[in-house]
Amino acid sequence: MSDSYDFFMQMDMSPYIGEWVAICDRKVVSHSNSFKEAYTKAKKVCGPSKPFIALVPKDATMIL
Amino acid sequence: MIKRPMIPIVFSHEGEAFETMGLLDSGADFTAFTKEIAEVLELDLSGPREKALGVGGDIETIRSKVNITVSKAHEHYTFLIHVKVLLIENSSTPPLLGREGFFDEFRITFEERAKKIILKKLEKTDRRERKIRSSP
Repeated sequence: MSDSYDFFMQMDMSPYIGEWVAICDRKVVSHSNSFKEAYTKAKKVCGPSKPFIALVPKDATMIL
Repeated sequence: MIKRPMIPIVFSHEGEAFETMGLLDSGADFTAFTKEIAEVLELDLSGPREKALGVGGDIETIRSKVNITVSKAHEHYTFLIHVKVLLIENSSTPPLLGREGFFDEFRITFEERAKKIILKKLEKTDRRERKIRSSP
């Protein structure tokens, strides 16, 4: 979909398990347990480009 | 790492936009995300609170609407989707893409062994036909 999505799928995100990771221009620009915090920091860095923010999933079984 | 059926999407509302990963959740009646995401998108959260049933018990929600974009290569689909904002403090829930408003826009095929998901946008006539077929 975007460079940031490709970056997210290709890179080792294990240091951020359980956190929201924000990516702009193929760089992790912020990470936090809080979506809002990761987004707010990313907005300052990313400028006009849309940040990519995704939760790095835990290995624990998810039941919804 | 456990692979989950997640797809890249863009949520946008009045100048705020971000790309994220949504979990395709055929068990969810609606598309839903947390209050934190709604606040970032500056959604109106003044509506009445409603109870929704989750595995962990009842959750308070508020109805809202947001633009969602699904893209792949040269295909881009943007549409307004009704969502339920989950009034929970826990931020570690990804956006859930549920049946009403999302699954009824696409033909979705899960190829579990191949770890592949295929989405095909339904034309309006397909959606109408499906509604007629599913009505009693």
